[in-house]
Amino acid sequence: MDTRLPELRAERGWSQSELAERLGVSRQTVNAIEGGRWDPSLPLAIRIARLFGHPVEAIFLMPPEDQA
Amino acid sequence: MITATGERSASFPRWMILAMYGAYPAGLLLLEARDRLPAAVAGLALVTLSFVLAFRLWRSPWWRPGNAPEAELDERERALRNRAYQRAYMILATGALLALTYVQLAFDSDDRLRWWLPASYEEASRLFWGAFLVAITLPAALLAWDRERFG
Repeated sequence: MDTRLPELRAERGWSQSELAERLGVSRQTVNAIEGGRWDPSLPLAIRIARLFGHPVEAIFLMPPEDQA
Repeated sequence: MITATGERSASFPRWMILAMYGAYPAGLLLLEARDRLPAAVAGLALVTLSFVLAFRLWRSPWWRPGNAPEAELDERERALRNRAYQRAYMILATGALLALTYVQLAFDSDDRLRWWLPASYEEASRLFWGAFLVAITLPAALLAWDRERFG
């Protein structure tokens, strides 16, 4: 899954560690989400969306072939 | 190594996993040649190397997701740990079953002398510490092995 998380995080000037602390996850998990190696659960995706003030679908982008 | 941010930074590449699990039995074989001092010293060095690498794995970032209490892990770390535990269980259960089958065959054999079985406290102890080493390190070693996929 593609994500705009690195871009949104950069806009706020947060490091991965800072974002991880705000979300209550490890820095490695933020790194894995940003690198597309881990798809967050729905509760975590909603926490991320609320933190950045965007809808979930504006942060996490489904590849065209997966869109119904 | 602990970094300034408090994170464990020591990596644990695959060759270290192979060396950790390979050095122990290789060292024991060399220790059997105790009448030849150089071989015995090399054997002791290999056994020591195996435990040094286990210590290094303990200091690596892979130990925590494999061993920390559930409450300290996030969702990704829990998923990784569950997968590592499942694989570790399969490996250990298969190993135990094969070992028991070997012992059964050894006792059933007419030619018992050709089947090696621990014949002293010292030999049983070496076997125990080898099994202990594998059992305690396996989940973290499996996580480190798959680091490309999950790191």
